[in-house]
Amino acid sequence: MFGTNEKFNLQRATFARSASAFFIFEDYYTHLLRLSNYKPAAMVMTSPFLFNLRLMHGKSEVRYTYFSDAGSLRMDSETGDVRFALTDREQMRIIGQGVTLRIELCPAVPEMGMTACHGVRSLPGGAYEAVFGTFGKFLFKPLKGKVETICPWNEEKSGYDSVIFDLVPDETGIFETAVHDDMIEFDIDDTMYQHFDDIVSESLESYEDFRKKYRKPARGYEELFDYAVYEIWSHRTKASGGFKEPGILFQCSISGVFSWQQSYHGMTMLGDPKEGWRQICSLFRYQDERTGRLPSFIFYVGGANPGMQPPFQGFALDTLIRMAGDDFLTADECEAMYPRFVKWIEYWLNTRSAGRGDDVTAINNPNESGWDDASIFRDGFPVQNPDIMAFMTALMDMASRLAKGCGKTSDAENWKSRSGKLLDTLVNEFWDGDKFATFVNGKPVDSMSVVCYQPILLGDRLPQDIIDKCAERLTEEGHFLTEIGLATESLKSPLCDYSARTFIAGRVVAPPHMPILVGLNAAGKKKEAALIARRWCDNVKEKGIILGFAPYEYYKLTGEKADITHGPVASDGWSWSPWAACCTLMMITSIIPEGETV
Amino acid sequence: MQLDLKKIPFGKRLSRYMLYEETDNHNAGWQKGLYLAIATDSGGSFIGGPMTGPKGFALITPVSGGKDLDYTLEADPSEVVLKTDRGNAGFTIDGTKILRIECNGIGLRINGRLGFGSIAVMTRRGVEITMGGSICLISARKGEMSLDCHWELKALRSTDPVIVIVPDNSSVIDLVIYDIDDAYVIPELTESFDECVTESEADFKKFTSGLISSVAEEKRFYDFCAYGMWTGFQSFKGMELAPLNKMSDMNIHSIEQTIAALPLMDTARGVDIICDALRGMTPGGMVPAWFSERQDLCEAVPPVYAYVISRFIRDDRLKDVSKDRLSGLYNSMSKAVSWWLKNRAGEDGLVYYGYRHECGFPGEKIFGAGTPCASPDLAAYIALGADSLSKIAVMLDKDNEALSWEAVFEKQLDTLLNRLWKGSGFESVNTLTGDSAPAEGMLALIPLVLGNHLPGGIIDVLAERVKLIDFEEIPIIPAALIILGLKAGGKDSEALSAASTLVKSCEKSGASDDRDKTINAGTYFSPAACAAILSLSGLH
Repeated sequence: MFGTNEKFNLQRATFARSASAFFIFEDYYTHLLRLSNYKPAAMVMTSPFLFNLRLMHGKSEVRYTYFSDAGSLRMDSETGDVRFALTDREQMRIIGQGVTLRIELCPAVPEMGMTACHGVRSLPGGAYEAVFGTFGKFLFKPLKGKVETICPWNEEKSGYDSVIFDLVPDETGIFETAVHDDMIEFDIDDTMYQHFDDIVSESLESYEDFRKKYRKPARGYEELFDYAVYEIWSHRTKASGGFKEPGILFQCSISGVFSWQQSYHGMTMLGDPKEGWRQICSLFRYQDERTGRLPSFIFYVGGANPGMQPPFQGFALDTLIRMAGDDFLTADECEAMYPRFVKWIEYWLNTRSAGRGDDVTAINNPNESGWDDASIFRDGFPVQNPDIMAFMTALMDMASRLAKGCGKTSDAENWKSRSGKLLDTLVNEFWDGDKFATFVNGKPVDSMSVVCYQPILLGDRLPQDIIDKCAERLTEEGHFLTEIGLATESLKSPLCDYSARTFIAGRVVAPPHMPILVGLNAAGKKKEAALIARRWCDNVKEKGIILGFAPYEYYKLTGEKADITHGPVASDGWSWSPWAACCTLMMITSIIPEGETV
Repeated sequence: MQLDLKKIPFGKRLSRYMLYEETDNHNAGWQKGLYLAIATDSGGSFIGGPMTGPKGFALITPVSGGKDLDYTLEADPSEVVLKTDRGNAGFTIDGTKILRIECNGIGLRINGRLGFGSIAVMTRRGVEITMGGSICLISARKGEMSLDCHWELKALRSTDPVIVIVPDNSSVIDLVIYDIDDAYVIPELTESFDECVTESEADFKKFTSGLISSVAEEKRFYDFCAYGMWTGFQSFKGMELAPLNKMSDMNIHSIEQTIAALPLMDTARGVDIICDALRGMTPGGMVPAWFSERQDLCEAVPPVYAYVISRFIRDDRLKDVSKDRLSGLYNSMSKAVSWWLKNRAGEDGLVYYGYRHECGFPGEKIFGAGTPCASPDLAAYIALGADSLSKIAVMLDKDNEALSWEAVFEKQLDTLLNRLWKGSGFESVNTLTGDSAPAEGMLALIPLVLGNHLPGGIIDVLAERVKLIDFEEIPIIPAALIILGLKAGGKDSEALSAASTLVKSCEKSGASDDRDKTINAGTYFSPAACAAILSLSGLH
């Protein structure tokens, strides 16, 4: 799938595995493969906890190429090769022949030196344990050949000058080493070392099994489907550490399970709606019992995470039901989740009330909308923004569905009624004839953000004239529509900015496509949705499943050159992204097939 | 007692709010003046919260007619008074979650200094400054408040907020600053500002009356240490523990908790603190170096708790502790000591540090033979731990376990005296290679804590070597342990001399291990260092 001579390499993607925290990527500058582990939640661009992977033959370093798929990663050189396989049991297995693998601590910022390493010690049987403070611990256990270390202690600076682990072949030219990771203490026994090939098979089976959670892709997108599923599967955590349930990471570098992204993923799993529903509900396991708030994100290391993300869960559930039916919504499920949905709604209404005496909300921070630098926030806060109101409308509607599912008829009617009222307010007070307007201090914000059309997520609940206008605006070439999808700020806007350090200020970014395309589809604008989806998907098919792209090298409005320099490594915001992958999967499994067969 | 807010912040036990005077000691560009700071975890957060460490987030400046006023500060443990030519402002802490400010004749300007993800907005409740999971809610009960803060679209952050509070018609401001979270539970206000001052005074007085009494000569400094210790305690997962320094490092270090128990006269409270510190141990029994809301540092540190408990036993203080509490202590401590015996001991009984950092001071000179290192300080702690467990087991009628622990004690003491002692000093042994090397530096003197378990000849030699130690520079906790060991070994004058040097260096540079360095304003007094100094006050 990924390799030196493949269509895609690991400079902006990672070799990883579901339920394993190890990951490997290619350094943009040196082209060496680099190893790390996401548990400590260190960002790759600043982490001191990174290891170069080098191949040695005798005392000489040898060049290598590499290839990886879901089962293993192989480094090839003229004198030998090394293969890596990951398990779901805190173990990475490495097997090599004809070469020594050098694993060398090398921080992102050279000035950090070897500070990540607090100690290395030898254990009986030729194993070595290395401790890296808050970054965790590695145990190198030789199964064939031996492990050697080069870790000179510098008394003057009270630290190591280098930290190197060499995995050295035995007399037959072969080595095999198990590398364990732990954040607390190792509890290892000798029954943990199954055959290397079995580990590879297990990984491939796990990946194949995970593919079944999705519908089949539209013709021509089969390879893209493989990559997208791999991207999500490889970033899926297991329940351990701070994770109470499996979740899907933002990235290996930004290694949090982010709140609304879990619902993005859940609504896409149309091949296994029960798992999709679990995924949507997963963040409720961390719901603040006092307030009802869902945290913004969860890290392996745990801790109380502040903030919150948009109330996306209602929209996700609505989509799952629309597209896959509601068989998964048993009375027990409704009984369990209804009160949690209500607490989440009440948290929004209690703490983010716009003070109008109704259910209109006002947020104080752009993170709460998810669209951090969208131009709807140009006039500051508190802001009454229709994207959140649309999510709240859907959330109340789904609270009604859950209440109905567990026999709470009057509650169901109440939430249905409130959802309807909020929808009326949205339509009557926030639609300005051309877009949904955002208000600050009672005045509309002058914005040409694509977020102004996000309430289309409500689909056929909206009046037809609004649906038509939204579809018209979103498919107007040179306004939002580009050759590669929707720009997040109109190309006609003086605020349109798709430079490298922006997010929703102009770039064509995957996540806003999800509510808009699903909404257009649900509103009957299937062809329009498919048109936009195909543009996005045709681009990522060639460029990789990156979170977002600059649509042009210049600005259409001014003709100015845009600074669209990509960040150098897989850790920046524009790396391969599970979040983008699930949006892409929705497009190729549902939006395009449905829209193009109408 | 007048506080120097440049060195020690005004605060209160269990309150996260602190007032201090920023002096920009590192020329980092901080505007000098009076700051409000909040004790919060730092880092590890993608969105929200201070990313570079808790520090002052609000510069408070007196103003009149739109102009800044010159001012002086007077601070005692319960109140800060800011004085200008036009009028004054008083600050005190109400309960633990409210800063009260009263002004007469002057206005105030608060310049916020926010980290990524933080923002200030004016709501119907007042000005809300969100900082990660915390909300600083500023409400003017008297006076009028305005906020200047806007969102910088391109920078993805808000501008630093500027809050101006002008007095009401009677020239008065009554400002309350709440420390709340997103549950928006607003704590109740005490009736008057003066009542808050009185309550703070009473709480501090009660705390100091529970400390080992200090002597007149250095009382003023010991009072500062008492204040540093009192303000250092923080609520943590339902416990009351002392972070390393509320101004700079909110991690709860396990050794430091142990030391915080030393100067307390209330033995039950001391035992509780130690049990709380041990509560964070791993399933295998390793006591982490520190723990925090987000993460623990699962690296072993020396079992200093063994020494503190042995002192309680020596002074016959455990008789005041209930059986339940004692039983809890015994269970925790036996698991923690057993971790060393199971994971860090060879067949010959030598207990060793697997890593340099496990001794607490990786640069210390006890690793001449490398690691794994069986060193005299660790042997002393394990011996004291086993001896203490043996005695507590007797109190709990666990006679068999008492005998078992007594055997461990005898073996460790024998190892220390007959294997590690070489006549002129201790040596360390590499338990893998069998190599040995002289144990140098302060940690080689820690066995003094064994007191009269050591033969007089060894005490004499160690006491001579103590004279080579520079008590003006070495870290305060090991310094205090060595001094207390001298005292326990009957070397009273040597102990007093060393203590005097140590205390004088702290008087000059603060109760901090960075006495020879330039350190940030407000960080000169760390609670555990204060506790260690206070524990020496009983030497006289």
